[in-house]
Amino acid sequence: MQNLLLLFARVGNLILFIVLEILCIYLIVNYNQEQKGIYINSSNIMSASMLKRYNSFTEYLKLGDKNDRLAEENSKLLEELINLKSVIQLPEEKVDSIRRFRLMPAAVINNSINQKNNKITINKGADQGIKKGQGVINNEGIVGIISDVSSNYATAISLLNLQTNISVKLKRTKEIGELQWDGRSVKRLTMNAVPPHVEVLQGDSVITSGYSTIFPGDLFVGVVEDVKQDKRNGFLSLEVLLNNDISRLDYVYVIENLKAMEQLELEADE
Amino acid sequence: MNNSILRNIIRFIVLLLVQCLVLKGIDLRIGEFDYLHIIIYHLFILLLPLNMPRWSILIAAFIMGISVDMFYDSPGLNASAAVFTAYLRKPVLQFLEPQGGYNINEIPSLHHFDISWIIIYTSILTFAHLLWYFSMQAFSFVFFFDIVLNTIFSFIISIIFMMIYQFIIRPKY
Repeated sequence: MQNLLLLFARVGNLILFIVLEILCIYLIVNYNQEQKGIYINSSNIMSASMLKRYNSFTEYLKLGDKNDRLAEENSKLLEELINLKSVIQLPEEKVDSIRRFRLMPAAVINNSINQKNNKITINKGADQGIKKGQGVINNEGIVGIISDVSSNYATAISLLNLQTNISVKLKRTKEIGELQWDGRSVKRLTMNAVPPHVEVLQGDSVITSGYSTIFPGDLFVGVVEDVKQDKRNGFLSLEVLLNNDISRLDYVYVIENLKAMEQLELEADE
Repeated sequence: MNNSILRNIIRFIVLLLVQCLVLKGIDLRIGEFDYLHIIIYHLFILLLPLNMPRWSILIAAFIMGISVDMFYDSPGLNASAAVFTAYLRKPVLQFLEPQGGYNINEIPSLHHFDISWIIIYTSILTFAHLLWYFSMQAFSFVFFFDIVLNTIFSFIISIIFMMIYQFIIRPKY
C-alpha cells in the first residue's frame, strides 16, 4: 500500500498529464468525425452572447460602409421586383403555389477563415425557424450550410470547410460537378468530378445546380479560373474564383425550401 | 497569497479575451501565404507562480485551453497544447535554473528575471506549444511541411506579441 502511494506521488503528475491528453484527443477525434461539437462550440449560449455583445461594439465602426452596401442591395432587389411584376401578372391567390423559397435575413456574429474547418455563427436559431441543413447565401453568392442550431443562434459550415460538398454546374455547358475546398485560399474553391470531354474555358460562370433541396438553382457562385486534369481518374477539376468574399460577411440570408419535404419524400421512395 | 490568486484569475480573463476577441480576428494571410497565427494565451501558463504544485498547473492549463477552444470551435485542440506546455514547464524551469536557485514566491516574469532569461524561457515553451498545436490540428489532413512552416512563422510573431505584453504590464505577482 505504501509502495503504491509512493509510486503515485512520483508519477501522479505524469498520470494526470496523460489522462488530460487522452480527454483532449477524444474531444478532437469526436469532433472531426461528426460535428458533435455543439456543447463546446460557439452556438454555446455563453460564448455566443459574449461575441454578440462584442460585435455590437465593433459594428459602429463599420456602419457607413455597411449602409452603402445595404442601400445598393435594396435598390437592386427593388429593381428586380418591379421588372418581374411587369413580366408575370398572376392573380393574388396563385402566388402562394409558385412560391418555393423563403429567405430569412440574419447577422453574422462570428466568422473564422483561418482554420481548416471554418464555421459561421448567426444570430437566428430554432425559435426563428432555422433548421439544420438549410442553405446560407448573401447577395453576392453562396456562403454555407446550417450545421447546428440552438434556440437563438445557429452555426453554419462555411464554404471554407474541408467538409463542403455542394452540387454546382457550368452555366454554358450545363455540366454538373461538386464544389469542394482544399484548405488553401479564401477566394478559391475546386469544382471536381467534371467529365473530361467537356470543353471548359477560363471565365465560364459556375452556378448552383438546384438538384439538392439546400440551394435554389442558378445562383451565381463564381468563375472558372484554371482547368486541371485529375491524374487518378481523368476527370477535370476546375479552380473556381468565388464571387463573394467569405472573410467580409455581415448580413446573410438563410434559405428555407418550402417544398423540400415533398422532394425528399419522393426521392426516398425510389 | 490571495492577491496572487486574484492576479492570476484576472490575467486568465484578460488573455482569454485578447486571444479570442482581438487576435482571432486578425487575418495575416497574404495571398497563398497562410502561416501567421498569433497565439499568446499560453503566457498565462508561463506566468503561473513558481510555488504552484504541478498538478494544479495542469488543471489550470486545461481550463484555459478548453475556454479558448469554445471560441475557436475546436474542442480539445488548444486544451491539448496547453496541457502539454504545462507539463513541460517544470523540466524547462529546472534546465534554466539560475545559480542561486529560484525564489519560489516569485513568478517567472520580466519583473523578477532579466530579459535574456525571459526570452529563452518563453521561446522554448512557445515553440513546444505551437509545434504540438499545429501537429494536433493537422491530425487528420495536412502534412509535415505545413506544420513546420506554421510553427516557425507563428512562433516569431507570437514571441513579439508576448514580449510586448511583458514590457507593458511587467507582471509582479
